[in-house]
Amino acid sequence: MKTQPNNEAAPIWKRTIAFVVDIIIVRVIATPIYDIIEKRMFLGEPPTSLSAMLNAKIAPIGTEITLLTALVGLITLAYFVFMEKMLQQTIGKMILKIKITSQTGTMEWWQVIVRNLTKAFSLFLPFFLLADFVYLLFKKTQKFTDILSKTEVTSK
Amino acid sequence: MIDSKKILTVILIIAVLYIVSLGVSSILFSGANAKNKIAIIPINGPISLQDTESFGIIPSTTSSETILEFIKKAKEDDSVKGVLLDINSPGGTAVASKEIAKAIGKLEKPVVAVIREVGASGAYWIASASDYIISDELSITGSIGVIGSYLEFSKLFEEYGVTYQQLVGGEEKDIGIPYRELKANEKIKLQSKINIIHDAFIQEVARNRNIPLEKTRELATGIFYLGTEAKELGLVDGFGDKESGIAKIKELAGIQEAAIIELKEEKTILDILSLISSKLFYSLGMGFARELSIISTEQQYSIKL
Repeated sequence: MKTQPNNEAAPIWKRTIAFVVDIIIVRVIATPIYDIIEKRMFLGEPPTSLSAMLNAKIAPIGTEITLLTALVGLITLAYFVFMEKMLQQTIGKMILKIKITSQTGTMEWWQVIVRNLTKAFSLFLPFFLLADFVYLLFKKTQKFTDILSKTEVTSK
Repeated sequence: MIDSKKILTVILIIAVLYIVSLGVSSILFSGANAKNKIAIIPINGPISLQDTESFGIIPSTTSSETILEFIKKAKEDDSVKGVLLDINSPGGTAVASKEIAKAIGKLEKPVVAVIREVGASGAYWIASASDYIISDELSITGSIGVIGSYLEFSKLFEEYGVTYQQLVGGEEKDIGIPYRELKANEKIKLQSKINIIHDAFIQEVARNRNIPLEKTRELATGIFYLGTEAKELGLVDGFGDKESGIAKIKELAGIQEAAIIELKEEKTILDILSLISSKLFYSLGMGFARELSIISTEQQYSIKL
């Protein structure tokens, strides 16, 4: 897909809200997997409030939960990759009227994969996602993975 | 204007991902939705009444308090159809071992004990309360005995000119203290207490394992047995590992499928934060308190299984 370079970088607040919206959508999509994770993590009924969650005795992380968490990572990655490759936008970005543009002219698969890799590992290694966001706070226009993938997020 | 092609693409991507999510979870992990669960309770390291911790956070012993809590959870959760005791412990204190064994005996669900490397003494007492004991051929088990030995330093102290000044209310208050030699009558008294505990241990094992009391007494010299010997003597029922244990529970509970849940003491986020702060203040106070400490005789002398 041909993309049109646009120098007007999307503001950070728009990107953040769009990301939150997308994460909520991914949470809904992956509900069947999250249901199993909850069942595996708690012996009784899963906690329903934040205070109950903080006080809940959490089961040790076993192979199955690791696998399930990896699946959630893959679903997250697939959501962002397919949306951005096919539409240059995710649902969150559509709502906030921002989109991805490629600095090379054409949005390639490797670009959408690279720019979203930290999201796939966010449950295992949230540090990388956080570091990417902190980088954006300083750089203002691009995350570290945006630079790696030669992409940018711009206002429509 | 609404771009219908865009909407269709969004719906298609979400639908495909949801179907993948649903399909993967229902095909690969159908066991989790099953109503049946088997709870694994690990019994690792020395058994005591309360946790002692490494680095202030990680438990380095098995506390009966925690295990009783796990047993209670397993008892109250109707979906838990059986309990597997994953044992790798050399034993521990008499009361802690006894109260765990008692709770297991009262649990009206199949309990299978799997002895890994070691399941000796107090840990064997606990295992004996289960419905079936599995060990490895080379596991160390049995060791039905009681130990109350301790080091006595009085001669060493004499050599360095250190003397023990006995200041007690009650002439036997400092019995078993390592700073003076044990008197003959005191030794008899301590030995008789050890004998009482040993006898209680023997009776429990005999009853739990359905072995004649006299035969159990003969086995209860404190010697440990390898898995192969233990099976011949009737102290274990079969050889195997955790998988064999799970299969046995399914057989005893009459179920085909079950989700496996490992119960381990885990700290909540609030626990960890409060532990770190309490340890910090405890350490600060320790410096002052150390000089003024009073150590009771009960802390110096302990009887273990």
